[in-house]
Amino acid sequence: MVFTKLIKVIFFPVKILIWAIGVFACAALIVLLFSTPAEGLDARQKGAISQNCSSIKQSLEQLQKVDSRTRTYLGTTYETIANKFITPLNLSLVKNNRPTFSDIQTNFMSGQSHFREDYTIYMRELEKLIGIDCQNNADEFYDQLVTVRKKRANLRTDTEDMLKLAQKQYQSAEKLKQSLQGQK
Amino acid sequence: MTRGGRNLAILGVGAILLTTLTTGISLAIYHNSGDIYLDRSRPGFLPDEEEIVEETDTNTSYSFSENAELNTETLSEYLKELNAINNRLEKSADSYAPTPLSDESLGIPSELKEQ
Repeated sequence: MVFTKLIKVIFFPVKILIWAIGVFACAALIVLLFSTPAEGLDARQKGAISQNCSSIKQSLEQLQKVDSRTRTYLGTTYETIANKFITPLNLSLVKNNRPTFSDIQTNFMSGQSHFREDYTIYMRELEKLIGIDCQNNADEFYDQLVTVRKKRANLRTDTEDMLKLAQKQYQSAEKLKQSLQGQK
Repeated sequence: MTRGGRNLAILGVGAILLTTLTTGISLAIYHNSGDIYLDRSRPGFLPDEEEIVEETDTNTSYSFSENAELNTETLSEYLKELNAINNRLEKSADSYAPTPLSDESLGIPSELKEQ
């Protein structure tokens, strides 16, 4: 009885694994059936991608490291702005019964979250791109390159938005200072 | 083999399978959640020595105190520090520019059309 139960416990994960493999196989089949190749990829261009495959991959791997470093730098800077500038000033404004810059704080934190999410998506796609064999699958490689470019553009938009919010915080604090000077 | 020995062997195999399964699930979650891309302790992504020095230099020790008196002097210092950080952010504004992934940068002929 105990032995039978033990066997059931051991084989349950195997059943799960077989089910998961089946689902993955179906998903892969759907992707293969419905994916469309890049337009305008002629023999010369395919040849260029295949020939330069190793140097392209090296460039992408280097880019991956640089982007990771940039993300750390920007993420730390955003945290600094949020925790040392925006939040404490708003708390001080509340204590002094003054209107806060709560919209900037909310949007800034939301922006941080978007940046993190978009970075993760971008890196996932970039890693997928690096994993493609560009020597033999130039079409698939270029398709994925187009996707990665779009994700990188989203990330760029996020950083631009964050900079605008940081500048808005500066302008709001500047106005506050001027209003305090006017009260003297 | 005695009954006890057989049960022990089954327990051992079960423990190994369970460990493999849970480790596999943990790694899958680590990968799928995207935490792997935020993790700089991976081989090849560890910060360089000069990067650690650079990070120490760029992180400001200034912090606006919520208990500080709200006057023009405290706000002047606040604005000076915030301006310094904003200037650094502005310099990094083009960090994710499209150039590194362009056809020219990757050595791909530029007549390729995107979908």
